[in-house]
Amino acid sequence: MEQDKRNLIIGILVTLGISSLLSLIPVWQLIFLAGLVGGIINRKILYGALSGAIGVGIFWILYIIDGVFYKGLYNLFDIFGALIIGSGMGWIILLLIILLGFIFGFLGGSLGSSGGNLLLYYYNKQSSSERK
Amino acid sequence: MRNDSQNFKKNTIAFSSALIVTILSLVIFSMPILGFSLGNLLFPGNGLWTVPGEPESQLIYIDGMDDEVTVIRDEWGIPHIYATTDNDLFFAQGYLHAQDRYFQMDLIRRQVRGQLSEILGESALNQDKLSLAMGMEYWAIKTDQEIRANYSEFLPPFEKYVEGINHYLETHKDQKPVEYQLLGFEPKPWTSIDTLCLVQEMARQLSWNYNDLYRYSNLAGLGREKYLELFNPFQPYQIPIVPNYSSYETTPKFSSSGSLASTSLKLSVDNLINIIENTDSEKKLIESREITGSNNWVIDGSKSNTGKPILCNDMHLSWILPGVWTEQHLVSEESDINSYGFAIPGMPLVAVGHNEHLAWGFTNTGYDVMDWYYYNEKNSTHYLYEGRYESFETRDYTIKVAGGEDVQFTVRETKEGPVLTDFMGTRIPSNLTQPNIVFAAQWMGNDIFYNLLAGEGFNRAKNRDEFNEASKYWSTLAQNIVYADVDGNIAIRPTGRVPIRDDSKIPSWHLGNGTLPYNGSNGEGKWVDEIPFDQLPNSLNPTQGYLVSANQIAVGPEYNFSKYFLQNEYANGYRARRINELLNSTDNISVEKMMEIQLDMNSSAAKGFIPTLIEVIEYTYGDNIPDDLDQAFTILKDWRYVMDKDIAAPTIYRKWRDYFYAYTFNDDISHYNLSRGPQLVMLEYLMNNKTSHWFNDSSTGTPISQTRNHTMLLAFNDTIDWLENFYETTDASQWKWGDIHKLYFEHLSGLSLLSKGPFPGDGEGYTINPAGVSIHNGVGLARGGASERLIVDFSDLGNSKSVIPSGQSGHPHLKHYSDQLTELFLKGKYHSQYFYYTPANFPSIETRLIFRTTGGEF
Repeated sequence: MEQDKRNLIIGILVTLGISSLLSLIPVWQLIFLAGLVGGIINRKILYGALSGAIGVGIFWILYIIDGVFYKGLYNLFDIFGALIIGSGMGWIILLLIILLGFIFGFLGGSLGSSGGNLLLYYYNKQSSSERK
Repeated sequence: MRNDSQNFKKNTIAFSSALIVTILSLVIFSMPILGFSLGNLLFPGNGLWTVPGEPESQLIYIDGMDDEVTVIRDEWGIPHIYATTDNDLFFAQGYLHAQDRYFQMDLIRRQVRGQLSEILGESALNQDKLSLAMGMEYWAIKTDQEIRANYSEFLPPFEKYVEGINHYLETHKDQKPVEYQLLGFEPKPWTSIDTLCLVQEMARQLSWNYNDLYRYSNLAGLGREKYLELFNPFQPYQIPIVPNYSSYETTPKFSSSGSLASTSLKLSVDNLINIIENTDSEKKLIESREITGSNNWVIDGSKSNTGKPILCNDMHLSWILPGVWTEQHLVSEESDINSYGFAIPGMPLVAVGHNEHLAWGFTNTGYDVMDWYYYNEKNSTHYLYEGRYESFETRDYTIKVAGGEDVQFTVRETKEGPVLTDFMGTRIPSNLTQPNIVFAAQWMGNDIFYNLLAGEGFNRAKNRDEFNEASKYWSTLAQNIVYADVDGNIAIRPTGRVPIRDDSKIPSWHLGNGTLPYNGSNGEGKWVDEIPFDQLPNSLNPTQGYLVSANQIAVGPEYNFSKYFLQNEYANGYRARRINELLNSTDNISVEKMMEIQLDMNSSAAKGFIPTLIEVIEYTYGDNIPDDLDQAFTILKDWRYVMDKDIAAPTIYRKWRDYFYAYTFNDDISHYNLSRGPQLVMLEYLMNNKTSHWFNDSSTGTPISQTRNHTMLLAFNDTIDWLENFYETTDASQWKWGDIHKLYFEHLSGLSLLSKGPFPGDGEGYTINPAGVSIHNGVGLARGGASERLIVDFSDLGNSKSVIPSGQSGHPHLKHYSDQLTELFLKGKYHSQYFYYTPANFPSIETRLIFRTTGGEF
């Protein structure tokens, strides 16, 4: 149990770190990779998914805070929010982005954890058949 | 074993489910919705998160700069560039233009160079073809070659300016402005040709026109005599810009002798007009002419409260965001440049403004610098020209089209200019014996131009002589250039190249002087010479102590018209009337008084019409004015012609004026099949004749006799009905002008989200502070007016004032995008100019950017 929790925290930190590195590359699709790497550290699928979700989610929150408060980008989202929801709704767009960050991290983490387990399963199966 | 199997199953299900949802997410957020991918636009690290931020204080090392350059941005984000050499100065200016306005520059150069289809697709193809046919890019390239060959001394700073732009682009590839994100294309590097294309675009906006066609259509419909009654080249009540050639006592007339106009071309011309009016870019251009105008005036020390001149300029252009102008202060120790004023993003130097010796400002002259010609076309390669067949010269283009195949387009050139009808892809119908005709245009913009050289001279000039020398290079885009200097001189010279035509071959009905289309196949209307610079109208230090231009007629009747014909079209003259009235009646004029005048909302058009209406109502009804008219009548009677947004009188006046115009002329427009009506000032003039036949009703074919009074009262009654219906109240005091007259500032892309307004607005099209609208269908949006305001105080240049109806930045999310619009312009305020020769002790520093050399080459 302790090991699982430790892996969860490591997974979150790894996801956070990779998310920040990937933010330098303007290919948002890579964010699944960050969750995937964090997830692969965890054997339990739920913990893997959580490490991806929390890692990506926290990073996107920090990124958005920086963009909104230090780069003054809120106006742009307000303008965009007005296009699809209504004026003064930029904050909803930002909330949705954060939510999607958690979801993408969750999906990446799930893929990492379950995929890792499947690889391990095949690896073990192959090893045991070789031993036989 | 069972556990393993369960885990395998669980992991497989989890993996498969996550994979499916992940793939779905990737697809959903990658595919374009509303024209762009939401993922690329919204997610961190992408799109909106990577747009340029607020300019920051920075130290930037650049190879090969001559010395350190300091750029101080003041509280409005206006850059003050302090350089040691000209090369460094213009490099920095280019860098800052790209930083503030690159999308705007990019979009306009694409428009001029026929490259809009490359980003917008097939919908822009016709516009691209027309732009290429107009030859703007072609002559920009020729001008670039000419400058490189013969004016090499001008090249280094010009090239440094271009390098500055491209250096910014190179070093900010990861910071694309939001418009690129939304429209989904990439910025391309800038070239010197692009800068020259922007000069061409200004020339197009201010001098490209279809007036010859409209005039012909009207002449053919009305016949010569009636035509000259309404569309006389000398319109009434004009106060000439240059006062040296006497003034107009009465309306001068052209001789009405000569035969009836040939109508054989009318079908072709009307069709061409119809096609042009259905081409978006041209429709916009024609509509913008209602807006395009400007004011400038200057007073000498005898009229000012300081004993020194004060110069004012506000150029009226479309209100766009980002604004047309960017404000700059340029200082170079090397050449003593110390210029402050308004620059066009994409062009070096200051276009309008002042240095420490002198100031200058522009209004459009309306000189006739464009003629239309029609030719008999033998086939796609040859046309008839003076009895023989000439081959068209051709220019071939490949137009890239987003989402489609490249399109090949060939521009055919006649002796006079490019064939403009080819972009339509259909033939112009014709009544002529020769059924295949093409229309070509000769335009002063279709030649090598030296305006940038003139601009450089203006920035460097120290006195009137040097300024005059520079003015000789002002070729295309003829402007009334007003001038003042620290020595107390004031001057104005409507400047630019104006053609002299050979009208020896025109038929007797033709008015000559480039007024109507010429039969190019017969060799009519060839441009044989130009008006010499020293024969252009000019006034230096007039005894009246002031000079005014507001797009009215350039000169008085004593100018040598028979030799040098200047213009066929000019403004109604209402703004000029009011400015002259104010300057003539006021002494000890201060900078504050000049602000009042620039913001003046008193309508001299209303003053021209309303007293007669009051008189007619009183004459007709005496003391028994009907109840439903009485309140509106009283409001008008008490009104002093101020187009104030908070009162009702301007609304009543304007709606009545529209009805009066329509009831006077719409029947004639329809009956005679006119393509446009006369200027408003003609209606004012016709009011002097109560029984003018123009007040008759021609709508039924046989004119029914009607009088001025009848028409005015009918219009007044219908005005009241319309306003009661529109405002849903019979209380006339509630018909506030600002409820129907709004100001709107549209983003270049047309995206309403990036636009500002509508705001309730003062003024009208004919007030000094203009904001023209159509209220035909209810609320009208004024989309143009003063694009900058400048007041130069020669007693203290640091007390000079300015404002733009936008902001310094072109980025919609940044604070200087529209701060001057909302905090100053809409409130009738200005900011003072920080005119300091060095950055030391600069009082208001928002950011400080320093360029420092690393010693290498650029």
